[in-house]
Amino acid sequence: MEMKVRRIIHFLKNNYLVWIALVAYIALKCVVNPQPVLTFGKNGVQLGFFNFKESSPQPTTINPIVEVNPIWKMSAYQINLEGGASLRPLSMDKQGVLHLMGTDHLGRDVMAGFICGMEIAIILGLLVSVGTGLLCLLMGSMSAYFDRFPFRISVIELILWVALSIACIVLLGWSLIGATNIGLWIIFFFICFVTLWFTGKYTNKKKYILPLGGFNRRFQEVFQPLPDLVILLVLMAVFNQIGFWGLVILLIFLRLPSGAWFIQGRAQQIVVEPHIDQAKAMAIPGHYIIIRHMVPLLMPFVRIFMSLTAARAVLSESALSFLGLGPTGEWMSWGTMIRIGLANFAIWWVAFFPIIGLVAITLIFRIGKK
Amino acid sequence: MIRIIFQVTLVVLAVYFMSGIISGNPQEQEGLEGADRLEGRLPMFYLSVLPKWYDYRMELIPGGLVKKQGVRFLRQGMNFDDWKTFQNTIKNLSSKQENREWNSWRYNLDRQDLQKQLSEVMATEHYDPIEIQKLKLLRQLVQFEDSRRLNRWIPTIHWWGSNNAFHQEAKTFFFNDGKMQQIRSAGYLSFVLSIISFCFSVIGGTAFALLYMRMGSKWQGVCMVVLNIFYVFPIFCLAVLAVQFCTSDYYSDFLHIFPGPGDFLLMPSTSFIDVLGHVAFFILPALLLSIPLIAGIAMRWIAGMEDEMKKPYVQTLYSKGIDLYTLQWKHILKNVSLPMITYFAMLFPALMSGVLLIENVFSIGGMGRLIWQSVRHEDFIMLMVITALVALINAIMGGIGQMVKQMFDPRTEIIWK
Repeated sequence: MEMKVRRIIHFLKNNYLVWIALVAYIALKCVVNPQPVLTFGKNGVQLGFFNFKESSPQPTTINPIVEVNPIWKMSAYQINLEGGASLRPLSMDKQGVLHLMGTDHLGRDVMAGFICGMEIAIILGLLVSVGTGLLCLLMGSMSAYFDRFPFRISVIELILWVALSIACIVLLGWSLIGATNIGLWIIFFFICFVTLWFTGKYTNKKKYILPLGGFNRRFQEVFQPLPDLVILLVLMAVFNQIGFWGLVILLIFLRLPSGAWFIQGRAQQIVVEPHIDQAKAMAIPGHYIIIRHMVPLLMPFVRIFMSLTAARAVLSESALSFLGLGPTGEWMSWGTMIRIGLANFAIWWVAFFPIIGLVAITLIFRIGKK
Repeated sequence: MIRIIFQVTLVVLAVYFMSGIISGNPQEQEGLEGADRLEGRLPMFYLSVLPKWYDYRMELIPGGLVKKQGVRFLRQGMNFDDWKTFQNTIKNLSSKQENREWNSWRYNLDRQDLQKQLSEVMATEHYDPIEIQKLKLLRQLVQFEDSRRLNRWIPTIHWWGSNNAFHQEAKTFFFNDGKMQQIRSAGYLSFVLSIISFCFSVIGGTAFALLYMRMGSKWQGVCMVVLNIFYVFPIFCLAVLAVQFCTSDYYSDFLHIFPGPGDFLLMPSTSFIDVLGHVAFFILPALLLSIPLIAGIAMRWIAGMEDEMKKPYVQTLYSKGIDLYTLQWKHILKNVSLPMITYFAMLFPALMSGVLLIENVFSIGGMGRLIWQSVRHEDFIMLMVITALVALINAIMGGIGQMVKQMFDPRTEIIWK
């Protein structure tokens, strides 16, 4: 128990900047939010976080017993042209509401927009970094361990694998376009699986080598000549109704090649260590060696990569919304606010606070660890 | 060289095939009219594997309830042209206010129910002869025979429009003077901007690193913090601040140092000579572009030089009485510069990302702005050409970097794969 407490304290000490950022976010939400921050009701608990798409102040949906309301209940998209437009920071509008960071030319509160942008940045950064980290760890460690992967297969089995895989993909496509039922595809998939299992069990196999180790390198070489932002713009042109989750997946996909190659490089140094050789000699399964021995040694590198990825994801998203593209181009993200501030010199504060926030959160993601 | 060709080809093919994905807005393109517009977007070699009964034109219909009905009826044995006639007829009939409720027949998946509804409607007498004719046609169309033959499920491979709008435009793209002139002038502007920025970055980063090595430890700490901040500072934020404070006399006449966005329009033309003659316009954009790169280069130089200083030969030279200036210039810089040459070659992709943003802020009609405009207007062919050009330039710069490295260090052998 004491060891666990020490580990938690050690973790908190090493990542204090990240925790400061999260506490600052919660504190800001308690100042400006479109709905109550925390509501305890008879039907449950309702949290007022991650509501960056709310266009107006929201009522609670459960019968409240205790409600923690923000100081100002405002949404980032609320327009107020009557006496509330282009107000400087620390000014009051005609309705008597104090705007700590001022308002833009449409009377929208800049602080509410700042918090909105902060939410988008935090969620995007965390999702992309965790997704990339896990996938790069998997790809890198497996490529390093199974560098020249021997496998045994017969000619009939190989032909069946290729033919049935193509048939499965075609049938899946048919079920997606509505030509067949998804149930039919599941049955077909099961039949293929059983067929391949029987073929694998009762045919004569020959040994082949699969060069898994070179895969990550080739994958990285394909994306090397193109800058990230150009690829992102091309993908935005194609998938123009992508949505927030689509953007997360695209950003993960963009970082995969370099990340997998980076982790593979580190994993290749670990794979040649004596204790791994001894584990292999003791016939310990490969997946056990990877999970119990390699992954703990790779975690520091993965954490570094994740923090750099989070910073880059936030910058890429803000660049996209600055250009008016992507799903966040329509929301009140930091890039959108900087674009509004650029268009109008007289309301410099609309761009100033998001710039400070962007630099701060990028720095925190980059050097968040002690 | 083969690797460069392979990379560029892969990039072009990737954009080519991705541009065939139907990604239109279903709200805008509801119904069959959208099909004609979408067909123009598909590239030549896009293939689909469909059951025999599934007419390939159904793929052009955006997903939704209308398409669901079409797939259901086609599977049951209806002809695509008949179904198209069915849909168009209902649309035509329900354009009248009093017939608006008939629009729901377009989404009805049950043929028996449709036949029943049509019979009920036709039993009432207050429709004109044309409407009656159309209703009879509708009833006739949904009375087709239900076909469950197994040979209708044989997969067929379909190749898309070798003569569609996409392909016609691709064939004439390189003969289109307007487009080629656009790419040429955009290329000149981006080329000049990139070269100036590259020079600023390399010289600035190296000078900063050499200055850092001569500082005391307190100032070195401050410099490292400043470098970290500028390394992560987003380029477009720097550009916004610079445009606000340095390109207008809004705050003070003394701050109007550089030409502002839009002053590029004052250039007489975008020929190479004119662009070179107006290099002053590029100073501020190039400076902004190079700031994060200067920070990155300086940090790498510093890390390399600090590693080099710990090596035994440096201790030996110190014990022989060498001064810091000679040590840095004659020994350390030469050893550290070899990995830096590769890093300089790898700067070009990062430069291109920055060029895209800077050109948008300063309204420079370069490659970056052209990419942004192509994305906005969904001009996939222009996107393919520009992406291929960017990939080619970056791949060539990587190759040049390796060759320069081999010139400086003959021990490095380039293996041409």
